[in-house]
Amino acid sequence: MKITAIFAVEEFTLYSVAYDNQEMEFSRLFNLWINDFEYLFDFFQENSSDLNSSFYGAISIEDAVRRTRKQAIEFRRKFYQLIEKQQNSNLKLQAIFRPLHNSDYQLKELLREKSKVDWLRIYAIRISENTYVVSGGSIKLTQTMNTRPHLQLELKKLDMTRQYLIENGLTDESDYGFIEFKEE
Amino acid sequence: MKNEPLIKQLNQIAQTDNSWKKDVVFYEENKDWLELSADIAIRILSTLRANKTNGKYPNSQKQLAELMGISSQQINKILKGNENLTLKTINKIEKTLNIRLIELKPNEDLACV
Repeated sequence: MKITAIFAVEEFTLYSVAYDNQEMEFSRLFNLWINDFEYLFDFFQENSSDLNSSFYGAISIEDAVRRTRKQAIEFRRKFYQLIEKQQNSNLKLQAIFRPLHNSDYQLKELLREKSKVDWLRIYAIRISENTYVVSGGSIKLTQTMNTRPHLQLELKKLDMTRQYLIENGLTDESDYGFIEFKEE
Repeated sequence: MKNEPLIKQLNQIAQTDNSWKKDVVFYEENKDWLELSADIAIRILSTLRANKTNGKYPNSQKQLAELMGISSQQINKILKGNENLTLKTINKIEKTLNIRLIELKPNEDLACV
């Protein structure tokens, strides 16, 4: 897996990497969650024990697929509203991001973050006050990220993105740290 | 803006992709029928998977396409939930899978006229 391009989802505010000549992660993920039902059925089948033991209680795979689509549409709409209104209001993407590690609440530049709508996550690195670079995202049914392969992969993608930004002179590591923004 | 030189540099190497905004607008303008299309796609996939578990036929996209006499690409498009399906196609799917996808309920108000 290799980063092959970086895209401006919205100039000066939100960027996204793309891997292996695929579309940018930001779009790829929403297309996956909103329209790739075959993928979603496979995912929830493979993770059915997590689904049944999750905070959300036992729900059928078909319901989980519908719920994911609904969440993703709302999530994408939220990004759209925050980005489109940004110039004329105080609403910022910061409102839906929080630090990846719950224990660290200190705001710093260039940080790993996740944005949250129930079990959907978009992972990003924050490089300025209101500028983010998306590295990936996932359906997160467990509390931690290091116990499931698909979440471990997202941690690797965050590292790859950070490395890509450093190699291209797009970060200042002196201010590096983890933060979490909680959706209000 | 903090890190302004870095962000300017980032902007120079980044390609612009606003297609996701068009997707948002398209969804908002067409959401009523798109939701129906997605519901149908999910129900078809759910039925194919249940058939597989129960050893019934058809139990894959390929088998469904063959039975309906359409291409795998067409079935794939239907199962993305973005297709504006015709009644003819919906009826064909219902017959092939032996399920109901749309149903008109009796209109009680009309019955009183």
